[in-house]
Amino acid sequence: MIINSTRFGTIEADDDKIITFDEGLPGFSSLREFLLIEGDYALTRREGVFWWLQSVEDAEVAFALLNVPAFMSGYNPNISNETLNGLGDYECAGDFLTLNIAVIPGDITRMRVNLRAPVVINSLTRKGRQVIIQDGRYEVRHLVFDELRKLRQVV
Amino acid sequence: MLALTRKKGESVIIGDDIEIMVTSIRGEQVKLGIVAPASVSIYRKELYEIIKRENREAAKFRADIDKL
Repeated sequence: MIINSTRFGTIEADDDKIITFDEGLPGFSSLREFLLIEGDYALTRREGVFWWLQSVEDAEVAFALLNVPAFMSGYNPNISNETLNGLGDYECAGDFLTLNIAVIPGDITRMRVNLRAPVVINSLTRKGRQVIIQDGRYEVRHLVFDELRKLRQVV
Repeated sequence: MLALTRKKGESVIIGDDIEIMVTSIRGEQVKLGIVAPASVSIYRKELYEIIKRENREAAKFRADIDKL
């Protein structure tokens, strides 16, 4: 599949890298298919921390995502079984990838991540959904720059 | 917008499988009970709007992330 992206140019991607969001994402309900790309880990010098979701249908829409537990060990959002079941068959919790959408403003030190609405992906069915969790402890706008910097220094 | 008058304990049905019941009324506050299939997302609108706005911000990142 050929995907046009404002950010990444033209990408040739295997169909099995495409994640389907049956409901879209809040604010982007008409966009259903996204390419999941592992980000350049020069950023954190660690694999699996930084990811991108590029819309298949709209070249201009891409999200940066973070694997939050990699740098915030206490982050453990409660995702209901109904939500998990809605993404199709799975064998164990390890079949799910949970990532959080980041906002990267002009001033990168103000970079933030949405802890309240994780993106959950069933890696077997490649279906995803952005879930808004009830737990009010988790902020929609959690500043994250310092935590990411620390991660890089530890390595 | 369709407006229906309901008393405490009364419901409305949306489609075949969604029921919304007025479970209590106290002054300005109305408590609603909702029965719906698990596949239907139900959120307080304010929170949903905040998430929507945050997603729109996220889709237009500008910074040079190599600075990280």
